Order: sequence, then structure tokens, then C-alpha cells
Amino acid sequence: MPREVEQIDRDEPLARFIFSRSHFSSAKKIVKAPAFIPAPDDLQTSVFRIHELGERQIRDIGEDVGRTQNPPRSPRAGGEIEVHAVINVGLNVGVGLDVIPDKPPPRHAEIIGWPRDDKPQQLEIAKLLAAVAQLVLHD
Amino acid sequence: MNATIAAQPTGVYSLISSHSVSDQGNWLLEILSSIRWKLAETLSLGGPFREAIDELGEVYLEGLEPGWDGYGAQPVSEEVLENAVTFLCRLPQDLPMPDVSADAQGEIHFEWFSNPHRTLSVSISPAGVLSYAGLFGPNRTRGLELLAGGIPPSIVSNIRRVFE
Repeated sequence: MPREVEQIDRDEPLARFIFSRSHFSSAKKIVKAPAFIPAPDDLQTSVFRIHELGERQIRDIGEDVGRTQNPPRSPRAGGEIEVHAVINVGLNVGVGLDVIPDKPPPRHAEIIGWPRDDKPQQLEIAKLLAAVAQLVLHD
Repeated sequence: MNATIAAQPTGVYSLISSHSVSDQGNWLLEILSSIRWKLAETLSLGGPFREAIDELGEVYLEGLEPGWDGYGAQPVSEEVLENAVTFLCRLPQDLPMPDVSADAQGEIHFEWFSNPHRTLSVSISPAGVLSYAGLFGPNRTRGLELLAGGIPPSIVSNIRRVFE
């Protein structure tokens, strides 16, 4: 198990595991804005810090996340592929959000600071995140 | 319900019986099915519209249960589905059909996409509130409208702007 990293660097990459097939397009190779829209109760977006991790390790985290859900699921929203989106901490800060560690599980973090009761602004921020997010498809 | 439609369920509609959809939700899905088959029979523009209707049905079925996104998402309600159907049916016919998705707040999203930096999204609430946001290169726009009457002109003009 790699040593836990406590300080979040602006250059850190974050992974958002995607469990809905409507949240990405493999044809267009894009992540869609709704993948980042926060749930209304806590206005937080769950992500994982993936610096210094290889693709296999990132995939394992996604599988672990899926196994803790009820019902258990796999981040294989397209049926035969597994997906996650990668964004940088600095981007979140640039659009007025922040990222805070939120363990357990290890490496878990939350994107916070979403505007409350302002859906158009939430949507605009989510679109900015989606515009630069890297869609990663696992074979 | 149209007997022809009932006899020829395909795609998402063949899955309806395996989901716990309420009577109202079933009724809406039947409406979607009806629209789909009418377009298939008569209109040359039916293809993209039919695909959007199919996508809408799939998104609704995927979003029926709380937490459907793997996190804490609210379900997509029948009111949202009804408003989404109304929105699609009222889109001017010369506009391209959008991609369909849903968000963690239980709203349905329509997205028009030219590239990641030239795109417009409209989300639809249970009350028929349309939230929209667009990226147009270095420029951005966002706003709120109500789904009453037709599609608000501000949304129509921003859809066109995506493809200018």
C-alpha cells in the first residue's frame, strides 16, 4: 500500500469513476457535464487522488468503489469497458471549487464549493470540468 | 395503447417489464414508444428524433432508483420525464437532436455538441425549470427559463450558436 499523501497539490490528477453510460461518449471520447454535477444533499463530488498510480491500480480503486455500492457495480458503464474521468485539482480551484481529502477509503477526496441553489452556475462549472476532463477507457 | 406498438417492442421498450416503473412512468414510456413508431412510419426526420426518444427512455429507466449513478443520485421522476418529452417534441424541426443524460439531482440533460469547448447543455427540473449553460470558445453563457409554450428563444438561439 503506497504511503498516504495528505497534502493536495494543485497539479494532482483526480479520477471520477463513472457508473452511468449516459455520462460519457466513447464515440466522441468525451465526459459529459452531468458526470460532475453534485448530489443535492451534500453538494460534493466524489473523486480519488491518483498521482503516481498506474492504470491497473486506478482500475482496482474503481472496482473497490463499485463493490461498496448497493447493489455492487462495476465502473463499466458501456457494458464491455470500464471508464473514469481524470481532471486536475488546479482546474477545480480555477472555477471556484476546492478539493479536500475525505478518508476512508484511502485516496478519497471530495470536490466542494459548488454554488448552492444556482443550477445554471453548477452546470457551467460542470461543463468547464468536462471540457478538459480526460476520458479513460479500460480495455 | 396502440396494438402495433405493443406487438413490436424493441430496444429499451422491451426492457420496460423488467423495471419497477409506476403506472404514470409506464404511460410516459408508452407515449415515447408511440412517438417513436409514428416517426418511423412517416417522417424522414424520424431517425435522429427516434434515437433521442430511445436515449430518453434508456436514461429514465437507468435513473429509476436512488443512487443510480453509483453515488447519491436522486431518481429521475415522472415529472422530469414528461417535461423532457415535451421539450423534445417542441424543438424546432430544423435543429439537431441532442444527446440525453441525467444528473445526480434527478434532472434530465440535453446536450448539443460541436466540440468540448463549443457546447450547450439544458437540464430540466420536475417543475419545468430549464437551466442552461453554454461554452462558446472563450465565451460562456448561462440562464434559467421556464418550459411554457414553446422552447424559449434564448435556448433556441444558443443551440444554433453551437453549430455556427
